[in-house]
Amino acid sequence: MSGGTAARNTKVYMTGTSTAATDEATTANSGTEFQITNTARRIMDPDPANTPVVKVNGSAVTPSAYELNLLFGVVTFTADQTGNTVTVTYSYLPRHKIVDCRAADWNPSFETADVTVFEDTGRRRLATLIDIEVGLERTAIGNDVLDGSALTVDKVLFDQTPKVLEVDPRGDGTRAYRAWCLIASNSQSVPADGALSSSPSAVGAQPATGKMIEYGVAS
Amino acid sequence: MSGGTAGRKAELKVSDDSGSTWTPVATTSIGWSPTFENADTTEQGDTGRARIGTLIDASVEAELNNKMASDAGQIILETAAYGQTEIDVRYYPQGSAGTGYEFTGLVTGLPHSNPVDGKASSSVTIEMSGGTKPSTGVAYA
Repeated sequence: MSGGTAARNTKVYMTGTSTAATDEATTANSGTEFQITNTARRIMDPDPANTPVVKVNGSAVTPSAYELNLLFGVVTFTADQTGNTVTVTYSYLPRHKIVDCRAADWNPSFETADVTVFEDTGRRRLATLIDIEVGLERTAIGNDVLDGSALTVDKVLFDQTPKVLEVDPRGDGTRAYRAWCLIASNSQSVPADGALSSSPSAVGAQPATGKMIEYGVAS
Repeated sequence: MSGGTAGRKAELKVSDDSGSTWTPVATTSIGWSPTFENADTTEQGDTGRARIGTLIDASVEAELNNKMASDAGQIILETAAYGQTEIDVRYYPQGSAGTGYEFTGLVTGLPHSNPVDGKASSSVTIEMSGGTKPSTGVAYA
C-alpha cells in the first residue's frame, strides 16, 4: 500500500496586518459547521476589540449559540443551520508564504500532570497546557513586500509581535497546522564559499481569545 | 524450528469512541514501553534487594507514514492531541489476528519534520492516563 508525503511540497506561511471584512460569506461543511469561503481570509484576528459577529440570514446570533475556530475560520453551531445563510463580520489576518524555506519542524508539546490516586493500578494523567516550538531553515533574506505596503517579510517576521505560523506538509491545504507564535531566535550563517542559511525558531504564544494551535483545512 | 516475528506484521489501532470502533494508524515503526514500577523494601537482615510492585505505566511511540488526511487513524490521533482528549490504543505486535495490549491514554507528542529533500515525517507518543493498568490478551474482533 503506497503512502507518505514528499516534503518538497511543504508550504510555510506567516500572517500580516489585520484587515476588516464585513458580512464575509461562508460555506457549509455540514448542517452545523460553516467555514469562511475565501481561503485567504480564514485566520481571524483574536483581538477582543475585533470580536467576530456571526449572522444567520442577516441577523446577528448570540455568541453562546456557536463556537469559533479562529485559526481556520470555522463557525460550529449547536443547532442545525441547514438552508440558512451564514456570514461573519470580523477582522482577518492575511497569509503570506515564506518562499525561501527548505525545512520546517513543527513540534507541539501536550503537557500533562500526574493525578494518580490510591486504588489506581496504573498511572493517571490529566491534560494541562499545549505549547509549540517551530523551527525553519531558510536560504535567503525575505525582502519581498508584504500586504502591498513598504513592509518586507523579514521586517514583519522579526517585529517581536505574535503572529500565526502555518506549516502545510502536502502544500495543498488539505491538512495544515497553524499556531500563534513569537520568533525566539534567528541564527544565520554566511560562508564565503557557500550559501546564506538562516534558522528562525519560534515558540507558542497564547492569543487573547481562541486556541494557540489548531489543524484543519486551509484551502 | 523457525521463530521470530516480522515487524511488518505489527499494528497500531486507536479508538475515540470508547472502543466501539478501532481505526488502524499507518506506521513505519512502533515502540511499546510498559514500566513496572516498584519500591525498595529491603530491611536489615535481608541478603538481597527486596522489592514490591507498585504502579504500572505504559507508553507507545510510533513513527507515522504521514499520509495526512488520507489516514483516518492519524486524524484521530491529531484530533485527540490538539483537543487534549483521551483515546484508547491497541498495539498488536504480531498483527491484529493475535493478542495485543490496550490502554487509555493522552497524546503527549506529535512532532512533524519537513525537509525539502526528504519526506514529511512525524511521530506520535501516547502515554497512559486512565489510572488502570493496560489490559492484555486482546484479540482482533
